[in-house]
Amino acid sequence: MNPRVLVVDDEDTLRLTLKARLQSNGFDVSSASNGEEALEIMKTHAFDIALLDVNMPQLNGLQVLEVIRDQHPHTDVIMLTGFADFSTAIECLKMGAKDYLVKPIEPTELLTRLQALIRARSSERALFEYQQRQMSTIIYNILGPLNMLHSSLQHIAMVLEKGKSDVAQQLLGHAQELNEKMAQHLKDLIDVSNLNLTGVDLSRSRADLKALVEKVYARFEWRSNGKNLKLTKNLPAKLPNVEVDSEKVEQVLDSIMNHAVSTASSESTVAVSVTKAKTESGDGEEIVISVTTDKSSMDANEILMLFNQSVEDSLAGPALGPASLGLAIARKILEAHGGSLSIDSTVGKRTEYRIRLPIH
Amino acid sequence: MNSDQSKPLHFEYRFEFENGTSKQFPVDLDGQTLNYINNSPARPEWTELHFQQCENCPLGHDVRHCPVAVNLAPLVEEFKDSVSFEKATVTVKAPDRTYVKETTLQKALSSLVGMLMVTSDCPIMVKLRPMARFHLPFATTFETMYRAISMYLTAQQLVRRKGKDPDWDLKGLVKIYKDISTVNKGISRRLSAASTKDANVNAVVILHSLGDAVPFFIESGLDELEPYFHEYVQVEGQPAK
Repeated sequence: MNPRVLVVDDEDTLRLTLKARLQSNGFDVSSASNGEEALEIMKTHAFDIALLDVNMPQLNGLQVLEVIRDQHPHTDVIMLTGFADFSTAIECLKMGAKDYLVKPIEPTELLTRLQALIRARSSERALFEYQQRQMSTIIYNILGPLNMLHSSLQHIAMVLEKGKSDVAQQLLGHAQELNEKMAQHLKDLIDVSNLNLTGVDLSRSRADLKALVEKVYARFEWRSNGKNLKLTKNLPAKLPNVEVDSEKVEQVLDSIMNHAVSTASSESTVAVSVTKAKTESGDGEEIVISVTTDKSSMDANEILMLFNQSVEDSLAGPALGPASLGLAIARKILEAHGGSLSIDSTVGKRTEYRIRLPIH
Repeated sequence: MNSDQSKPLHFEYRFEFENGTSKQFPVDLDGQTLNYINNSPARPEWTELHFQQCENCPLGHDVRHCPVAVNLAPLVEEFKDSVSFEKATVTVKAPDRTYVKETTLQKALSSLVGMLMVTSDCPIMVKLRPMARFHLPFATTFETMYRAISMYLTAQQLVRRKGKDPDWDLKGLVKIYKDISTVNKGISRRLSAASTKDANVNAVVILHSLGDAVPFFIESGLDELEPYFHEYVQVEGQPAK
């Protein structure tokens, strides 16, 4: 695939000539005449590199750079300045731009810089893929013995059932729970690894969301009993079928239920409801799945971290609970469907997870 | 046409900004030589030849000031504190007609800067001087390309009439624009030193982009212009496209 470049400059002559030059050198080029237009294009098209003018009306280059670093971390930015203002150039580099070029731009210099950046990206990608594959291998190596441990614990549980030792049963229950948490965390790590390598690859088909919710709800009924939680559901008699990747949406529901149950305080209620609603823009409909706990131990910082970090950062950054990694993945999956995940929480009180999935 | 070549050619650029202010910049060219008649005594430091001198400058130490910079000095002073993307209604009174366009300051200035550069005594820029007689304000990339090629081919026809070898392949024009590209870079460095805001520099950046487009499109076969020349280039016996 040809490297994809977005040229952002308010001057049409420069856009035209840069585009023609880059296209003739094998780049796939799009262009935007201002920051807003660039960010709009980036919502639907991925780019390897953005060439970004510093001085533009409305949103200036630095403001656009900030949004790109935050929302499109895989796009490298080269800043273009028509004014040899080196302090601005240094500021751009500090803000995460990979390079800068002073206008007028010499075509050969631009091509050299772009090619160098592409080579660096390609090496980084190769290293990253190697690390991801190594991580997957390690995880699989841990999962094997963990599954064996799981079988052994089940066997011990059956033996203990006959002897009826309460203390031993309690300890065993604890060991089983820890074992499952570890296994879940490792599975999440595999998902992260796959997401990083291939992105969210959806296999959509018409799906009965109500049936999916019922299925996941049933899985968590036993866990809520163990934690002394009350689980309730309020589902409509009928929901329209939606075009989703059922397997991935089930994974999303699992992660959210898992997080809700893990962070819910003892004797609280976890309520699941599903409704059909108008989208915020008013031009379509969506399915809204809400999971609410009335007493939650989740704190605002955790939510902030969850929503400000990429999936990769969730791994590398300050420790979130294991279930939170699943939520970060869930968010990515929902965004790939054109939907969203929001969390509204007051510490010690109510937490609501809201999934929105558009009906196409 | 200016039939009386003893009279100067008078151009006037008027900028009306959205905040109600306005600026005017007159340009008089010698009717015969097309030299800019520069009455300004201003010779700031950045106009000295050795200050950020262009890498391909053929002028020697006997010349104290860069002729392009000297021509630009009054304009640079007028717009040194202006922002490139500031919007303005620009009216250009040329000898034969008047042009009006709502545009950005950088775009309008690039037309003006271009005219002042080619009407200087710079031995590199002078090759484009005939274009000043047929000055087209706010020219697009393809208009510039068309005008440059037309100017060059006219020159080759005149060369042929003088019994010399004409360059119909436009190789000389590509070389001229490559040389001018170097001058544009040098001039933009000078203007960076002379301005606090980016309008002047960006005007040269636009010229550089236009100049860069000419050799690029010539070397890629003028594909962009060919559709307009169908009547000339269609092959006999083949249906029209």
